[in-house]
Amino acid sequence: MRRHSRAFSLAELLVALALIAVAILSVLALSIAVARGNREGVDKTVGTVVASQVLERLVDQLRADEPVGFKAAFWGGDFTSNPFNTGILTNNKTEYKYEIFARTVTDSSGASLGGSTPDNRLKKVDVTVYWWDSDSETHQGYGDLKVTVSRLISEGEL
Amino acid sequence: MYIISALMISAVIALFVGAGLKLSVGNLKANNGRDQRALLAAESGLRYVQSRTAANYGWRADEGLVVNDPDLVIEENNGNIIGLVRASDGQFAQFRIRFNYQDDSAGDADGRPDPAANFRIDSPYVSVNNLLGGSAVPVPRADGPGASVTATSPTPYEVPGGTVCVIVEGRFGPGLSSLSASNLNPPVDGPVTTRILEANLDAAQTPGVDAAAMSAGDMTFELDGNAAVTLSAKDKNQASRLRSRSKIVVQDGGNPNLKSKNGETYTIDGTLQADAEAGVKTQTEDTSTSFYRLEWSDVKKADPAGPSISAGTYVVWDDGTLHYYDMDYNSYVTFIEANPTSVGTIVDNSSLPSGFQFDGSDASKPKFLISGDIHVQATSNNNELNIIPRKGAQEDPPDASGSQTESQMVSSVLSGLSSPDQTGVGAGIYSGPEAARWNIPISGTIPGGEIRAETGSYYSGTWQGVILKEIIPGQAALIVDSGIQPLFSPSIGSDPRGALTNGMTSTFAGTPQLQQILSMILGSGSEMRELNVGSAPATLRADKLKVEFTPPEGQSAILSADGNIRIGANVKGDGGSITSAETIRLVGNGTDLQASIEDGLTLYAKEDVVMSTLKEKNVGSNDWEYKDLKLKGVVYAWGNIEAKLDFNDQSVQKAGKFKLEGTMVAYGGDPSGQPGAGSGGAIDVRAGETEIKYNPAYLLKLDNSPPPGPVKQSLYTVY
Repeated sequence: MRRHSRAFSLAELLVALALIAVAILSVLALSIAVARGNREGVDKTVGTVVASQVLERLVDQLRADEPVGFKAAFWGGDFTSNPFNTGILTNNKTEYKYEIFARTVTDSSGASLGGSTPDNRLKKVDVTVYWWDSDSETHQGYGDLKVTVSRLISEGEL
Repeated sequence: MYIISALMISAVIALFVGAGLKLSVGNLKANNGRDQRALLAAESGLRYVQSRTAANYGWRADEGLVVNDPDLVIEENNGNIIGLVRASDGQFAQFRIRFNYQDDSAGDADGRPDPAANFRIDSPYVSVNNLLGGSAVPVPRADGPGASVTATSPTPYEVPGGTVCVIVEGRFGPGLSSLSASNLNPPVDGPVTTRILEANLDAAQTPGVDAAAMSAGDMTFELDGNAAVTLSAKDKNQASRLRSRSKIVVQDGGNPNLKSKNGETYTIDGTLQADAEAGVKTQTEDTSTSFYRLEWSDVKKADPAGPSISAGTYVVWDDGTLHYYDMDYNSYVTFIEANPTSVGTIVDNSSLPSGFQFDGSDASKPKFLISGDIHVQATSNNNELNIIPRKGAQEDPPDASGSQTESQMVSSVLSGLSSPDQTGVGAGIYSGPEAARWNIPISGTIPGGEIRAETGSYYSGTWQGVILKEIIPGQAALIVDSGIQPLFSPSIGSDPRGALTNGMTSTFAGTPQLQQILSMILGSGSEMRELNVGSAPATLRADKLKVEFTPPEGQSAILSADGNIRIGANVKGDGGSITSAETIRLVGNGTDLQASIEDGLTLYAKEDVVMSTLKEKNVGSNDWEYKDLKLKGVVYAWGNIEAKLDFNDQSVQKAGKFKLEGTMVAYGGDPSGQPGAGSGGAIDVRAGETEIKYNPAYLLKLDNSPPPGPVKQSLYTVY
């Protein structure tokens, strides 16, 4: 004997659609959050790469002492409040503003770490990169568009 | 319905896949960012090592907390280094470097204690500092328990001498979230990106080869007759070397004039100017290598707070008495030639320390006995120590350059004079019309303010004189004056310079006063000479006066001064040494001085070391000879080393033999810097037979390591 199948009722259909809608919306929200977090990571990565490029360019300029006096100015003082150098670097049509801070590394007694050996000082250099036009601009969901990287530069490597 | 369901499910899956893909790309890029941070941390570690090793090639990374700033913390612990570098955005990156084998329980091949537990580094990459090494050493990989280096650990390559191999681990990531200044090396608790950076840093200088003599400038041997320089080593299998940053010249003597079975010479261009035996090898001096270094602060000197004698000039008279003058040598010479009978202060042994005694009981052979360390205490007038007989000591034959006769000195003075600065009334000292004066520079201060060579009585009108009157320190008026009557010929009024010439070459020639005037104008020169003490009894010569070092066994006898040391006597003894912050001059009848093996040092001068063994064969004969000179130990000068045992003149009848066992170094500057960076640096030996024997037993206090300086990167790899 053949059983006669019964169709979905309207209520069942509405519940099913609602469940599917909730699921789709949840996935969409999750996707947006993931994309946003992902975007932050990508942005900061690109910023880190740009900051590293600025650091390497700084080392090259110091080696070449270009412009003349650049090296002497760099080793001549500490730049902790006001940057030693600023500029703009363009990468993939985005302009990155950067600031370079530097200070001489000293030991716990305050003496230069390189001792009395000539041309043997050590500086800690911080490069901060901003992008999207403004130092204070924020991007929805993850704060300032700013990255800072640091490394030590020795006079002997120049 | 099925179609709708399938579409719905497909859309959800697509959304997940898309999000997953985006996330993975993002993670990839984020990892790249962490890579950059880890690499920058490793680079920081490398630069830290570069700076530390440049300051000290022997750096052992064991100085504890070196940097402790909010954004940079670096601590060393028994060869391991951990650093935290924080950017202004607050994130820490870490670098770790290990020189320690961490092998206390596996044989302790590195000979140093393991680091503290929180400084152990579980990395196989071990750095090796071979900056002070002369040959290559292996770089091990730690594969033992607890990342230790064991006897079977692989050593894939070597690091050359004069190089440090640095392998830095740079780390960054959320797994290091518990990093802090008080927790430099926490366990990892999440993902961490690690980059390994390896670099070789090369010393600007490497240890130099050992040598029996090293000179920053020329090394010259001027030989007598058929003499030769014989170069040897205490150990017959060891090479004996002469090293010069300039040239080595052996001139005159026999053929060959440089003998050696295992000798090597190093010069700047690899050549040797000598008639050398065939076995002598010539090499090119490598200016990147170092000389023996012995810095002033490392020289063993007499303790200034210990036994001391007053600085000044100690003079032994013919009667066996000792006379002290609180004057430097030049001032004493000027003073005594004007006041030959001045007794100064008579010294007896009760006023001298027990380690410095004078024995004049046999007036024909007086001697000083130095049995302990003696510091020469500077006075308000001088900081020198001079020991001479009353007649002084002759360093060079009278015909030698630098030892001018009076007529030569007069010529020198007159050649520097033009028209007088003033003539007539006011020019002289009595305002008489017959006078002329020249304003001239002088050497030093005139005792009493003026020196007069004069005759007659002013009041009876017969007075005339040549006068040197100090105006201000370093400036004086040279005056020729004859009061009212024109006694000089030609007269001062008609020919002032002619009158002065007459006064110096005739009227006052040979007088001590004129010699004093000439010395003040020309300077006494640095050479020692016999003094004009007029008719005062002065038959005792330097060859009869002895300075003998007699330290008790196992103890030292060091004579130290902050000024010049001049000894006009026969210097001898075992275990003695002389140190001077200026020049050492030993002038007398031979020297036979031997350092103690423990201290090694014989003579050390921050300026020059000058030795002369000249002796007049018979007093007044003007026939000269040189006695022998023997030194055992280290002779070290920042400036020049000069040994005068011969002079090419007919008046010299015999050359002396020069013997050195140990080494001699004319560094040419402060040994804390590069050889030749300062003045001097020449070795000049004029002698008969010359024997130089290299003996490393005396070199224990010498540092053959190069002075610190920049280290340059020669290899750079990231993995």
